[in-house]
Amino acid sequence: MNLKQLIQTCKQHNDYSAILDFVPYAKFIGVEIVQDEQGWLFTLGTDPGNVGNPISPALHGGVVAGFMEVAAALAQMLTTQEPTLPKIINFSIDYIRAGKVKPTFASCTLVRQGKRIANVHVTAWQTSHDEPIATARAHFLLGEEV
Amino acid sequence: MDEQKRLAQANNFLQILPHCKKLGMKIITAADGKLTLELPYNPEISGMDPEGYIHGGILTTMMDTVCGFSITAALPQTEFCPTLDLRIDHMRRANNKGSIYAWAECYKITRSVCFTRGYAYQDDPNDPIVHCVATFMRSGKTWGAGGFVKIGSKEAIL
Repeated sequence: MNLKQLIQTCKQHNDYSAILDFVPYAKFIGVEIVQDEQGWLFTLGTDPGNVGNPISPALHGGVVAGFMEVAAALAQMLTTQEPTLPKIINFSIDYIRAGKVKPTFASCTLVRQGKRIANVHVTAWQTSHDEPIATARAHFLLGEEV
Repeated sequence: MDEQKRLAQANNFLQILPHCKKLGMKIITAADGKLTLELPYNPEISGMDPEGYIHGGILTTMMDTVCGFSITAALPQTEFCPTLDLRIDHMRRANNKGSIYAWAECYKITRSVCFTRGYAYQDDPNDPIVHCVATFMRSGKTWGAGGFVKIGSKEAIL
């Protein structure tokens, strides 16, 4: 099964675990995907191993960034007509609030899908979309079809 | 402070951060405001890649950690400084053969903000995998037994 077929199967069954099986890091931090009216919603569970600051306690900033990068790459693959493996070029994150140890959500906007480059904006939040814990943008280099 | 003492202090601090401990991170050099962090290879943290290359998110995690710790190595007393923003550029992918090293320096501290920069590499520091810049906010607080406390207070544990 190629990537395009895999994505089609996931969409048909509204079950994205098969694609997450190919991203060990996503499993390591506990990422899941659900589809709602707005599009794909990415969630990060409450693994105590994701804590960076045990006093508050708060999520490690790198985990929040990693979660948002996973979300951005998957959103790009799920949105585009001809999916390829996106390679990260750069990633820029603004931390707005401390991430508490509770379910975290991310939504993505594919701002521009070119032939070689994709630009994706990501918002991560916990209590409400209007109160983001972080915003980020990513550029991906798009490779050959696989 | 001499390097051995700074190194031991930085590693003790690193080990109380759950995610850093889970990844098996270790600080291997610590000079004034400059640090090197080592991350052993682990296939569990690879990306969507048949060859098991490390995920970009892990490199961001390494850079956030080492940039943050470079502040600890630059200030006379440990101060809680959350990340304000971070940007990472990927020159190439990390290979699946060995440890990744991340180096950072805190090059400017003002009353409210710390400015840091760094890079990560595998075999050759002159052929980096990523470059990074990150800024951090100063809180004026440090780690105490029951939460964050004022720097220099009796409850401070770091």
